[in-house]
Amino acid sequence: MRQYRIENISMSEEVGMKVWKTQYKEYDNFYNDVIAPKKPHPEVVQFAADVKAKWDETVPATVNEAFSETNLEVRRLLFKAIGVEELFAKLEPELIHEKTLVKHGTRWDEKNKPFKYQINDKYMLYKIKGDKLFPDEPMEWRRANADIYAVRCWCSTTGREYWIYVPRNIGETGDALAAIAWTVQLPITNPECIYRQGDVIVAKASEASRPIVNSRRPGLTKEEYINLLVAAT
Amino acid sequence: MIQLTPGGDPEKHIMTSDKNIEVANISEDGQIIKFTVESTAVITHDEHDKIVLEKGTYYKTNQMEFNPFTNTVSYIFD
Repeated sequence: MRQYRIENISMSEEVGMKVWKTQYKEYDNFYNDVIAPKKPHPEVVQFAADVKAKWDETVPATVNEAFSETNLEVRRLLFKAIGVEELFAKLEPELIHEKTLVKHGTRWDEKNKPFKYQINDKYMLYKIKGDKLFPDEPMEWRRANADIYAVRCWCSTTGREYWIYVPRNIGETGDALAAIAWTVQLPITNPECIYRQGDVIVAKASEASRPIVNSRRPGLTKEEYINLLVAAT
Repeated sequence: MIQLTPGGDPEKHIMTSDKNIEVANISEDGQIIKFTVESTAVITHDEHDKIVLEKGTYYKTNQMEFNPFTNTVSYIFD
């Protein structure tokens, strides 16, 4: 039987197809992310054709299917492929903290003149215990290390809901604002202020700003996020 | 006109100005840039309200997210 490797984990063709279908939904998404970056060797072209031939008949994995997967590494891949929104919607996560950031912000009229408005952004921090994700993991410390956290938020313009995973040490602060602040990792120190348009962050440099050359940039603290944010659209 | 999210949809996060904007890539993937606004710059998006920037030096990046199943951190793209 044909075997596929995903993230260095070997699995049957059937399971590999399920992981990809769950993650990419449409074949074009799979092609653009997995196939397009590779050189078009004949083996790659054949591989793409094989996957395409089976794409429509492959059914995406459900959360329950992921739980029934006995290989922990494959289960991890399935959880990743299912995505944060569905995982947290199905698993009845524990609400750790909820906070609405209320402060004066700026928006602009049709002539680009600024006007004041009230930022009113709600953030909710949730946790899924590792026990729930990997109940058959025999090592207690590994189950505890598998706790996952996500912050739930809404776009202030579209109202669309987003779930963003945050690291365990951030989740363990138990603070929803600390969690959203971590998602903002600037390439400079001492910014004067920050603007957010959806997922794009723009930081205005101050005279004291210096580049952060280390590739591991720290996330903002809760206080920095609250004080620096002047517009969120 | 500058597309602030390289490779993204052409109507998202577009910056325009009536004066030239000096841009420098800070990261190899082009997602972190430094730019200098001489007068005013406007960032538009088909779904989000615009942002207007006054004269100054700015750095653009994207929000980040953690992946608990690979222990990696990556950009968020909407």
